[in-house]
Amino acid sequence: MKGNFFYVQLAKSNIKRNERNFIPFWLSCMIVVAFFFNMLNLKQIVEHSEDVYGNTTVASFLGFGGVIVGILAAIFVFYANSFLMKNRKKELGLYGILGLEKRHVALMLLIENLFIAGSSIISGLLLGMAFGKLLFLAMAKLIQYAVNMPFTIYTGPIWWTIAVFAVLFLLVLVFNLITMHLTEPVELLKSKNHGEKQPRFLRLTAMAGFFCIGAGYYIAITTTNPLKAILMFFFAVLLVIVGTHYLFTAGSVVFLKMLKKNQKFYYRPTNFISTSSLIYRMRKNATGLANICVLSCMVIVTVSTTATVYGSMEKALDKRFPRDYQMEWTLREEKDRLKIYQSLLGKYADQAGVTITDEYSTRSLGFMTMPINDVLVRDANEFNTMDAMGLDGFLWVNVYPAQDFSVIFEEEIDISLAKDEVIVSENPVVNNRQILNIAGKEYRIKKIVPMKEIKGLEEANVLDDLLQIVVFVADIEEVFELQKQDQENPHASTPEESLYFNIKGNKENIATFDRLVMATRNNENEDERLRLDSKEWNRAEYYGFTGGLYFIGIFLGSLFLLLTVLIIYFKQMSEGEEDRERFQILMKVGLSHAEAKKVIHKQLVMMFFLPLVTAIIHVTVARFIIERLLLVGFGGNYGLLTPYLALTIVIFAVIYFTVYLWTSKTYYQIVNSGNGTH
Amino acid sequence: MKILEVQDLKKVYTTRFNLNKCEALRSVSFSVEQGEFVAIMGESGSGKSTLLNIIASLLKQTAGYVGLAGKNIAEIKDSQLSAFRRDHLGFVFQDFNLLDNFSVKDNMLLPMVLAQKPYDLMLQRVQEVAALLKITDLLEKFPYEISGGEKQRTAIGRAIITNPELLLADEPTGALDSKASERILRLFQQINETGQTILMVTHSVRAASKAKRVLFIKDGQVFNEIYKAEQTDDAFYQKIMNTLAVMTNGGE
Ligand SMILES: Nc1ncnc2c1ncn2[C@@H]1O[C@H](COP(=O)(O)OP(=O)(O)OP(=O)(O)O)[C@@H](O)[C@H]1O
Ligand SMILES: [Mg+2]
Repeated sequence: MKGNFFYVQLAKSNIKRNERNFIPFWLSCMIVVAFFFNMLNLKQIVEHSEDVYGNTTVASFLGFGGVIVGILAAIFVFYANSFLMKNRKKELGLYGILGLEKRHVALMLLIENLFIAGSSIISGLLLGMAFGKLLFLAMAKLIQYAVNMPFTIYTGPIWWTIAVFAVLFLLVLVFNLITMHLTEPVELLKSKNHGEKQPRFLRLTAMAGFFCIGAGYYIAITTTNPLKAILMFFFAVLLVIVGTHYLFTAGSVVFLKMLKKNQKFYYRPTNFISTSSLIYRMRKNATGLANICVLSCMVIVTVSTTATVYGSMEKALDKRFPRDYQMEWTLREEKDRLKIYQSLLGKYADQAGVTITDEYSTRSLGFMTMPINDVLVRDANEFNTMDAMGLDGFLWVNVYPAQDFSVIFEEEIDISLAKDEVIVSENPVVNNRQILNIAGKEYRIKKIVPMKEIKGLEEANVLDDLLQIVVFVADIEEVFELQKQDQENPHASTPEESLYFNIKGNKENIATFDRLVMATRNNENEDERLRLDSKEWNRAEYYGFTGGLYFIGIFLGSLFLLLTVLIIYFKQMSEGEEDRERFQILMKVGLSHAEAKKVIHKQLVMMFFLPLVTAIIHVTVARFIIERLLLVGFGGNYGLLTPYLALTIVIFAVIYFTVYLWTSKTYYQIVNSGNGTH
Repeated sequence: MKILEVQDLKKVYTTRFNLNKCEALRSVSFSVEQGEFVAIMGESGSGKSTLLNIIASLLKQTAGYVGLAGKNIAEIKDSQLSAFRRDHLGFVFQDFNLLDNFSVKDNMLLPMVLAQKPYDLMLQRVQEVAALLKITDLLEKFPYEISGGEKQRTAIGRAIITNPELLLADEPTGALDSKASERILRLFQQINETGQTILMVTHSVRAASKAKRVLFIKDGQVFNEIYKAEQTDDAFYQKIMNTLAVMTNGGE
């Protein structure tokens, strides 16, 4: 009993003595706990608030965010722990040599671990609860929940947090015990002074790094198919992460060794010291630098992309809904429903006291195809969108009668087409062609027009110009003709008519109108298949979706940022400890204070700005593919991506620089401490 | 010609709150002639390292005079101190103080690089010194790849590469076994024969017996000094032992 108390005391004094290492570790664990708890708790809150438009979307985002935070927490806690242990190896070795048995040291580690785990989980939960309300309000504002959604702290997330982190700390302890068990005390004593083993195949690894980054960049720049972009994005990201690691660990050393070979350059005082110490540093800590770089990229990409989505929400809504209301139904040759609906709407409008304005309608036949030998086969039912993601040949075809040309292109031109003539939108499929074959019927291409913003074309939100083609045929009869061509096909689509209109009136009247038309909404009559939708009804869902995304973006972005800062801090700490001894020796040999300061500064700047500059280059290239990604689901970035990205980079760089100033101050302090040399 | 002159040197360490003053050196006076090999002995805590560090200008004295190559080191400006140290002094430490990120060659070259000497000269000197110290084969190795004795030879190489007026050594054999110590001491004698002035602090009588003169420090003062003259190492060894016996007995 008394003996155990001794180890408790020992563990306590260890933590106190290693404050500079333990406090940031404890702090970061606490923060990660707080983030994790809040992610889960917010999910619960959103899930419990029923009848909120899109709350399942937001909840699933939050759940997804929770998983990411959990994974990051695990990686990070292990990473921070490895720093801590590295700095303490000497101390632990000393205990061994002083005669403390391994199991006693293990007991001491266990007590330390229990203490750190307990205190960081409890304080993390408290911190999380303290800031929970604030986060909740931020989220509610972003997703514009007007409804009652009370802030509550649920017990489920508390238990989950405790469970997840208890397991995590247990794994850390096991890891530490295994490392300790595998190392001899003498090795522990020496371990800090050894330069890391020189990696083999340095040149090859460096080249692999270059190749990976190059391939990632190539994919990012050349992937034009937005549906493919989703898959390719992850592929490119993986390549760049791997490439960055290789480049930092091997490429930098290869480069520095080249500098070293140049004797005129190398044997100058500052070059001499900084080149060799950078080689040493890179060998030991390149992984840390690569991690900082990757995390920086994540912060910038996550925040700027979600901000773009959120910022362009209204525009995306406008694109999806060219008018306040839109109505779609199956077009039948024998029945003109347009007149019926127009008069019905007119009646409702009169009743509600509003006026219908800016009305227009289009008729079209839309189908998906995979051009086979330049024939646009109708409704190739073997594929679906998922299959199409990996395929280049996928194409969405919309056939309109020529009368609708001016409506769609907003150009008042009279065009008359012969029965066998078509006007098509720009697309590789029709490049340099005179004939277009649609489902076996040949048409002469009269004109190719550039694809502009096409109003009311729902698919325009999802698809890129490359993936869709608009075809204008002589008249509506020709459209029906095309439909008949494929009547046996059960999957065959039918032509549709769409009516778009705005309404004018005061708020109350609009609400009345809304109620009236609601009755007509979604008449799923087989023959008619009427769908009525309003911009306003969708706005809530859009806000829930984009606001939720933006919230997660900022939430994860700030977590990434915090982790980046902490990793930098850990790195500076352990490097400072090492450099202190080195600079003391250098000064004894005759390096002046001023020179030392210059060298330290040079080294710090290099180590700091290498990841930042690399990250900025990475995200600048990533912009290309992100732009494509945003086309899917958001209909583009509406020119916001570039300014938002630039802004995020600037803000990030400012924060990064502040961290640099802060940690380099501590670094100087460490290096200079106990340095009596003049 | 006097290389080093120390007069009434006093050093008082003041701890952080000025509560405990510790007088490490009370009044030390001695001088070292060009080409001498002097050993300093004394009990642990008698202030030997303190003395050496003051001479090396790594530490400031409380009072007294230290003249190195005719220059009062107290008068050298802070900004010139490291250059002075580099040009006039070589220092060998007990724990070698080599840098792990430099090869043996680069470790030795360090003071020359700092002094911005031309590369050709550096290369020539490093070859000469390495040949003298018999470490030519190790030049491209790193400190963690060589033995303690080899590390100390590298450290000596670094100390003598600039041809300093005075070579200071604080227990250079303290971390080595007797065989490696023997080699290092023979090296010191050899270097001394080429004209290098050496001032060495040591605990080991065996090591001191290699020197031409031994100074004994006690109670912050030079207690005694004996010359080797024409005696053999063994005879000198015996004499040092006797002096030490007198010194400890006299203290009781
Ligand atoms: N930085 C310091 N601050 C306070 N006192 C010190 C400091 N350095 C040394 N001392 C004290 O000064 C005295 C002389 O120390 P010094 O290191 O010079 O002894 P030494 O003769 O080299 O001993 P050893 O043979 O054990 O190396 C000792 O009593 C020591 O405690
Ligand atoms: Mg000493």
